[in-house]
Amino acid sequence: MAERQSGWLQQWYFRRAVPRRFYEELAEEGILYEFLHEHCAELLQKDERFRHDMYEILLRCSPRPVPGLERDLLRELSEALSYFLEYTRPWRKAKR
Amino acid sequence: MAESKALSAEIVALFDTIRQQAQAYAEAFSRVEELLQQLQRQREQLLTEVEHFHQQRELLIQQFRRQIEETVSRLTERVAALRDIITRVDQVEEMLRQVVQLPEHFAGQVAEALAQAELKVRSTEQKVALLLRNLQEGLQNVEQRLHVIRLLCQRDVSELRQQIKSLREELDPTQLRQQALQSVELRLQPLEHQVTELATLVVQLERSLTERAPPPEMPVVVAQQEEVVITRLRNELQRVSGRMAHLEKQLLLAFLLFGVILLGALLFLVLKGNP
Repeated sequence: MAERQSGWLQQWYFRRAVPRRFYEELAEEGILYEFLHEHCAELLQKDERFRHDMYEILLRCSPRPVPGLERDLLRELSEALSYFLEYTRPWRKAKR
Repeated sequence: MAESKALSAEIVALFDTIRQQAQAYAEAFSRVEELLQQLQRQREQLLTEVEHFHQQRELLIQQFRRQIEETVSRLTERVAALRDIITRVDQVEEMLRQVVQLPEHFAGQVAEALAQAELKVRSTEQKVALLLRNLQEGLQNVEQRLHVIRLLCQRDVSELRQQIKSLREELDPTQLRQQALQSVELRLQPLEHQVTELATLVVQLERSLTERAPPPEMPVVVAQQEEVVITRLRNELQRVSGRMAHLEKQLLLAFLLFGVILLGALLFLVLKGNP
């Protein structure tokens, strides 16, 4: 329930409260991911805040699945899980 | 993300599963955090209790050590007292052994002391009897001498009377007076000598009686017996001294009587010579 309310509020916020950017238009066209890797690859790689902003726009505005985005998100998820596994290794060893 | 069209359904389901697992992990971690905090609190509480136990342990150790030292000192004192008691018991046993042996030794000593006392009593009795015999003989001698003196006095008085009678008839009164005086002096000289001998004899008897004192190292029973004997001897000596004084008084009276008779005779002669 709270998740649904937060999703609706976020949709309202980005459609009515803040002005639209051209990244959102590129995402609605389905070419934002290719545009970013073609023109902003270095910024996307180094600036985490920008990268997460672009991922959010892709997830919110893209009309069809983006395999590259899925791959990037799975890679980040894999890194996070690897960190989690590495972080919880002493407890797991102790439990064994 | 669930409504996103940028991800395929499999990817979205995967992310949902991972989110659910992450939430479960977060809950587990929060639970673990709570448990850790609880454990930390328990650990702190246990540390506090352990510190308290340490303090109590130190106090108890000091108290036990003090009690043990007191007990050890008390035991040491009691052991010393027991050793002293054992030493005294040994001494008492030794004394008992000596006491058990004492009656035989004491009986021998008593028998020996009694034999010595009997010997001393017998010797003292013999000495006392001898002394009494000597005293009686001395008294008899003195009485005999007094009797002799009395007889001599009577004889002299009778002779004087006869001489006075004859002189009254024959001689001159002045010559008669001188001759009478000379004869009286001649007869008084042996009497005086006899009296002096009697006085020296009495002094010797007193000395011999006073020199019969008991020796200081004699046993008590013998000393008492000798004291009784000495008391008897003193009484006897007093009796003898009284008798001697009585005899001296009789002798003095005899002398006085003799002097009075002599004076009477002289007066008679004088009065008869000067008619």
